[in-house]
Amino acid sequence: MRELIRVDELVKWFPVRAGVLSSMFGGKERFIRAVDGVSFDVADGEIFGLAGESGCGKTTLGRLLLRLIEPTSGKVMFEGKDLFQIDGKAMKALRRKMQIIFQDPYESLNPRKMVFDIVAEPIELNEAASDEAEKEKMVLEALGAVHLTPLPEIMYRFPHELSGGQRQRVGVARAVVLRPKFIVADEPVSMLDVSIRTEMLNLMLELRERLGLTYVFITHDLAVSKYMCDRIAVMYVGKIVEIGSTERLIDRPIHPYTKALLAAVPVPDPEIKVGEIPIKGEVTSPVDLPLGCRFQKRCMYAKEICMKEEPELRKVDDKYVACHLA
Amino acid sequence: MPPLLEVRDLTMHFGTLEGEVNAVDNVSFQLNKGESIGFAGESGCGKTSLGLTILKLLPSNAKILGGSVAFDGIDLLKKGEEEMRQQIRWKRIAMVFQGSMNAFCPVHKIGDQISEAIMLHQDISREQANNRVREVLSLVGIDPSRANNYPHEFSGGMRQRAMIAMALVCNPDFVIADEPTTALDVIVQAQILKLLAGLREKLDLSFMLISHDISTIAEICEKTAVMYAGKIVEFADTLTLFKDPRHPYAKGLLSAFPSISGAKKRLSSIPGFPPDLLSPPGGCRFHPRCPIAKDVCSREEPKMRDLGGNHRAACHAIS
Repeated sequence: MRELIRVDELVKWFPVRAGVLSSMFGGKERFIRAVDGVSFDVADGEIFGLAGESGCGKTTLGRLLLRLIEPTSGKVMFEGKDLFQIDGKAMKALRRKMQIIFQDPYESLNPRKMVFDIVAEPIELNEAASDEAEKEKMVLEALGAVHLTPLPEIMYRFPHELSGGQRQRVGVARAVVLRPKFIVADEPVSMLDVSIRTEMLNLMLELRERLGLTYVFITHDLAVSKYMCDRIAVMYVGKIVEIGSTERLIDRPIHPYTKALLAAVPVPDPEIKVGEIPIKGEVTSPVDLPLGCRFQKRCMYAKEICMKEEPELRKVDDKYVACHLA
Repeated sequence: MPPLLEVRDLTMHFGTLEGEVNAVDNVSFQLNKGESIGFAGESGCGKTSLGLTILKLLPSNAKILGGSVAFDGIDLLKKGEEEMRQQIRWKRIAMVFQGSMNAFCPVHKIGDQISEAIMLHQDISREQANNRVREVLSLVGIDPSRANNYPHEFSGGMRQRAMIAMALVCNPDFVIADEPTTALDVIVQAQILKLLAGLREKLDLSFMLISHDISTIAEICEKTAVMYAGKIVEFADTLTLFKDPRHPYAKGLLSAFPSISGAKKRLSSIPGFPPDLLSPPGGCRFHPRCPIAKDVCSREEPKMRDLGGNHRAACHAIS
């Protein structure tokens, strides 16, 4: 498959606000290493999952992919163009091709705007329609694509008149109205109830086929990523520790963190119980990272080398794993 | 042995400006000592309201319209507010509220906040209370010396453990846990579920787990009740309910859940959305969304049918 996105050694550090005293007396500036050297590529038409616990940097990474924030260093190539090198005009043209679906359908729709205006906003910002009639046609198409009914009446409703599932559909319609190639879906279903959640997941799969979309799908829920993704990257405190095809990663995890994550997922089957979870302690702070592997303190198998050298992502069988012991 | 908790035909409505909200409607179930029961259902199905009604921790616009709640032979609905507070709440029945791990007061030490709960309910000295705090903290896997920490020094998982410790501090027989793992990461969630299951065994505790996530119920509950629009639609041993669900809503709920294990199969969703409890649909409340609804379903409310082996479901299609 053709490559759509290539991420190369991407880094985003956020400065930690230091107190007046420590900055007066030459305290060292500290950083939250939200994304700390991440490389991968996403093929055209693929659903690429980013999994990991809260604070692992998956949302920050998603925002970098769309250049919603600037990186500390590193590259994101989109269709061969470096997102952080091209000028404003070229970036604006590219933005039509990349969109985002947010986590919370209650917070991410402007309560004062009608559905029509919410979905039409990207068209206006990008001057994508030549006249009002075309704009309306595009909005209607997008709302039809996400199966929002009743059309056209629903265009004139406000978000508070809609259910949670309908709101998230509006969010998806807004994301697809410009016919983008690429969508970052940041926990798009974690706020939704079970039955609506399934509808949304199936809708996103359907839209990939119909509109030829590529997704980066961010979720903390591995059962959802298994359902949605072709490949999954597991992140731990700013770094990818393992990438592989969904089946292989879930059936044969290699990195000790991936193993622990998978072992902890409860199964909706009373005959399958969660066993011992092979992990110690609590999530490592992204501010004061230890020398060597950032997972060492939680790892059941850590050896001397893990305290000294940071493991690089390397190919093991058909996956990429960042572990000295793999 | 009589059941520890027997809820019969419990009905509770909220009075609002727009009308009556049928939050809990004719709910009946039993729980034996040492048993755990899970209440599954989507938001707004009345599962939290049910928990609050059992403890009578209701806002002033709530009305308990009928039924009974017998706990260890005591009719809780006949108890006055003062008696509930002095005899029942926390001493016999405790609750871990939804999101309560964020309910610790940030300017008081964790240990002091837990000992406050004991001092309010038991006539003991501060020293005894502090000893008890250390006991319950180690019971939930927190080093007792951390009693002197403030909430911000605890991680989310530790705060949730501390909340569970607070629920256990007066040695209750029964704990209601409302979405105790919802905001937690998966590894911490697994640890908390293990903790609950372990405590149950160690202390012969009974508990009620309220959760929208059926996999957490499958993990630690012996019995499961599925609620829809204020009613229990199906009740059974957890294994039976997951292997042989009979109510179309319970079936729908189970097949809507992605699983990490097994082959990938297409998930099916339940069309439509739950009804407005201000004016729930007549007949069976699920009929507008039901794939097998017949005429009778919109006219008559289905009765709870006994399917044998403590398995019950309320659906006209079950003969």
